[in-house]
Amino acid sequence: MAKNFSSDRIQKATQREFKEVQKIVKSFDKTFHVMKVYPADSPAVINTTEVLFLEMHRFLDAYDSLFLGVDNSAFLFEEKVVERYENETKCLPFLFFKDGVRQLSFDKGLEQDEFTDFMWTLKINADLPIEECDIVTALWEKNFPHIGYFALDNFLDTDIGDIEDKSVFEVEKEELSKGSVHLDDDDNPGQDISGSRGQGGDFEADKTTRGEGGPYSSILPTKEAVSAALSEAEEEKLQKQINDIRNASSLNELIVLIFEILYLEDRHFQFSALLNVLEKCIPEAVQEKDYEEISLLLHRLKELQNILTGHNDEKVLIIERFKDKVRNKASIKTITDHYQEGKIENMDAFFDYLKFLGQRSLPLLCKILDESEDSPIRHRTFGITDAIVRTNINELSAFLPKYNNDVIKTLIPIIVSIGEKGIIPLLAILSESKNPDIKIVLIHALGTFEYGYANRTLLKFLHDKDPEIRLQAAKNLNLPADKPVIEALVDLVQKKRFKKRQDKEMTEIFKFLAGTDNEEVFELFRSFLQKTSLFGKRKQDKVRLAVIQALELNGSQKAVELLLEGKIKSHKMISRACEQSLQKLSDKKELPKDFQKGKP
Amino acid sequence: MEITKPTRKDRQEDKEFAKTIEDIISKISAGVKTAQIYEPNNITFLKQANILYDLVTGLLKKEGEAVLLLRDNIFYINSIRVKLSFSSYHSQKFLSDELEKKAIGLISFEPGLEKKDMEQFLVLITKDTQKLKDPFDEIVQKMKTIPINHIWLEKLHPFGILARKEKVQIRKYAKKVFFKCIVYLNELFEKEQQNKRIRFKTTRRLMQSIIDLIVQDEAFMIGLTNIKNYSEYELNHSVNVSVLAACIGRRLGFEKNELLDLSICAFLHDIGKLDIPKEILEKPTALTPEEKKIIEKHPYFGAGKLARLSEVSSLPIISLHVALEHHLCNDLSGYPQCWKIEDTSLFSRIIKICDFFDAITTKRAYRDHALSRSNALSLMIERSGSEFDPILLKVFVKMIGIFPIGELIILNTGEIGIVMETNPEEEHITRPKVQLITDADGNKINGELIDLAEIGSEEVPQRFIHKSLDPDKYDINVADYFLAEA
Repeated sequence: MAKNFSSDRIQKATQREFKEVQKIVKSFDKTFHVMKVYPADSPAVINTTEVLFLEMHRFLDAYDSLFLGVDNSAFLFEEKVVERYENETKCLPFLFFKDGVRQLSFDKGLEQDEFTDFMWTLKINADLPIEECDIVTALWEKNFPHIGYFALDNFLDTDIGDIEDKSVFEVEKEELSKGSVHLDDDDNPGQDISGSRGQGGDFEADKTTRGEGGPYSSILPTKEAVSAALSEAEEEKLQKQINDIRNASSLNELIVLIFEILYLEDRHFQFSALLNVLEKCIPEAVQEKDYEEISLLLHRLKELQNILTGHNDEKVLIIERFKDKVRNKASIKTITDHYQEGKIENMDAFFDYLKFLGQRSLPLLCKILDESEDSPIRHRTFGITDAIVRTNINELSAFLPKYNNDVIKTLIPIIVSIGEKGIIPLLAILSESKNPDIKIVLIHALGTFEYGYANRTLLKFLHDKDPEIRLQAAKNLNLPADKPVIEALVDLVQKKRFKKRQDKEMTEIFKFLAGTDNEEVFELFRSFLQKTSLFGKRKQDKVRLAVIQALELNGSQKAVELLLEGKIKSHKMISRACEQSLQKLSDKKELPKDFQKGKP
Repeated sequence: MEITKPTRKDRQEDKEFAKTIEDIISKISAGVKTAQIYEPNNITFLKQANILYDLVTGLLKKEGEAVLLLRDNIFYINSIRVKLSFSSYHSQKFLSDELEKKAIGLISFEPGLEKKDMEQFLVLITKDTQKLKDPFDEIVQKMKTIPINHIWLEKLHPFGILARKEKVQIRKYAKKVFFKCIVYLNELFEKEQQNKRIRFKTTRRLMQSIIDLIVQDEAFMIGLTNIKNYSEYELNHSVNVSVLAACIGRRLGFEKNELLDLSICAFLHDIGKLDIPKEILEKPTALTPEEKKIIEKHPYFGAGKLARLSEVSSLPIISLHVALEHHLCNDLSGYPQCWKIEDTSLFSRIIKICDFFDAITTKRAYRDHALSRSNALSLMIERSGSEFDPILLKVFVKMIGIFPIGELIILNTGEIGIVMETNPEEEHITRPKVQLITDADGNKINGELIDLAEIGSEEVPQRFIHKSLDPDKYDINVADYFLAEA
């Protein structure tokens, strides 16, 4: 019916008992090391833990409890070494010993769950950095019902200095019983009071007053106030608050609180130091894919900066520096991995972070634009990319050439959509690209600008080896053309090698030149259409025909006049070509009668 | 039929199971209390025993066992810890004290249990065994002779380091821990000021010891908070606040790790004062508005320090809340006026109560008279809701009592005493346990500890408290009487 197990526990261990303990200790060590290597759900961990628990269970069934002594590198049973380990600081006993544990105890009733929890507590703590690991705290917090420990409290003497004034500390009872107390009349209960509250009389706290004046003049708390129980609603409210604390995210708390402090902190060096703490929150949050916290941080930062702007320039500057640091340290690879894994819970928060990262996030944004089929995501991504490009246009020139071709290809139309003259130099930088796809995209982009600089950039492509690039460049030249462009083109078409170019390309260039309405250009055309020597005629004819084609396409009065001239003054083939062009023009629109008759 | 028991983790998280085991403790406690008052055939007692029987047999049916284990003043039923809460605190404490007196460490109710077994068992363990040499053996013998079947007892197993010690040893240890906390906090603050790296391992160990000591001897620990101004005020005060906060936390049913966090928060709540010039902190006269402004910065100075410390050590983040918010009132008045905070943290509200209570009951350079503990409570009750969280204040007021531990009182007999322990039962809240320090003529004595709840007799008339006294007026250092206890 009852068993007293405390007195008969300490007995000499039998040989058999010792051997059993030895087996348990070996198994204990083995399980611990297996747990350090393999994951929790691996068969190795499950099996060794189960075997150890069964051994322990059998022992406790037979002997009620197991007390294991702990030395720096050994486990002891009944003061005898059970197992000593060579690697002192890495062995299991040392994990306990270093924190002051000198005995472990296991009691009958130990359950497998409890034991497994104990083993994992050891493992988790052993994995912590040495200064963070405290097995005593871990076991203390766990409060295992059948597993106990005895730890020295020598930290009180080794880690903490001496109590200086021991006279305060040591008080002798005898000293306190010397002398007497003479009560004031106010305080003396007197006979009448004692009588009035005779035996069984109850104290009425709320009616008892203290002496008049001074801190002792107020009344006592009422009996009702002291004995009041909590209502059900109050208990519930309290429990909710406790649960809130239990469920609070420490990162969120830290961020929220640091902003509160930043808001109040008026010392600049402390302001900076706090931002440093905040800076470390971001990689932590990224690691946890907790973009919501980052988004919170960024929003608060923005709000704070707005509050400070105009009031405290130095703090605003510190914030700006902080933002730069955070941007520069961001790991684009990690966030790209997160996006690719598809495990981002809050895309809005994720985009907030990308937006903050600015041009650094452009490669990822472009990747999303290229790969995502989700229309809202694409829309959002485009918006952010556009915003980043607009706000970082000046800095972008430094980064753009470093991006890969896919990114650049995606970015060019976005850059162009800004539609400002200022972005042309940015596009010009990309003209150095060797990638034909980029060249084509860039040429089309440049073609949308009616500025000389865009044409000048396109000129570069007219020297490209690839005829298609050259053709596209020619097609995208835009009017009006400025003098340097006209001069460059006039120069180009007069070069001997020009004759080797494809017809379409030549036609496009001439067409552009014809569109300039430039006297010099028409003089050049005129000279092209005039009779030449037989030498090199075929190649010359190719150019002439291109000029005629361009003039036809141009169709202006000047062009028609030149064509008429060519019809009359040139040799037969050119004359016929001019005539055909004039006919085509006449079919398209009504030409002046004189022109139709072939008169200049 | 074999019973498949849910895992320990499942049961730990099972609210229904938690409620059942809490109920069992509360009903055993109620059963013992009723058995103390009524005869075994009284209907009230039988009703209590019946309820308990139903609960226990229900658990037996569900789990195949119903084993109550008492270890280090903590109850476990079927290996699951019975959580403390404000409503169950007193019943758990009562039962733990009762079982400890009888050296009972384990009660196993076994299948086949009958109502009669339960009734007889409750009656048996209620008997006054104070004068018996070995009450446990006595009870076991009687269980055999009655007989009481299907209930199995095991002797209390002194487990932890503290449980192995005698009360006086525990108190000696408590004293040492208390003063070491003050010394250590001083060292910690010095390190902080010298920008040396701070680790909190020792802080955690100290706070664990404080919590263990509260579990073992809460009244004495609260008694030690009467020690004021040992070393610098802020140091002693922080330790006092830690003790008081942990006591509240325990009543709220906090887990051990939460209690640890709470006491660490309390321990460090005033760390911001390190950045306030000493001449302002210790100024004996009223502060100028500018000085007041400076002193009101200490909450965020402290929170900032802790934020930076949290980078390099495993400091609970909630300690930042506490440092920042411990001067904010329940209605968010107070200081500092924060940016977005709409509600202060539970820990901050607990520590605000303890901080205020300890501060106002302490003499300061600028205030040569401190409030008595009971007067402080009255003042705080007046400010319930506006300054203090009303629910938490209720818990605190109940914990401290009408006559708080450390209150100097005069009895109707003319004897002067110090409240050493409160009586939690509603009918006894004005009748604490008192250490007599003078006789009726005012002569100082090494008096006994008397329980004012005990009913008087013809030889010993009923004593009751006449009023509280101002210890300063009679040059009595209340703390000395606690220190002399060990």
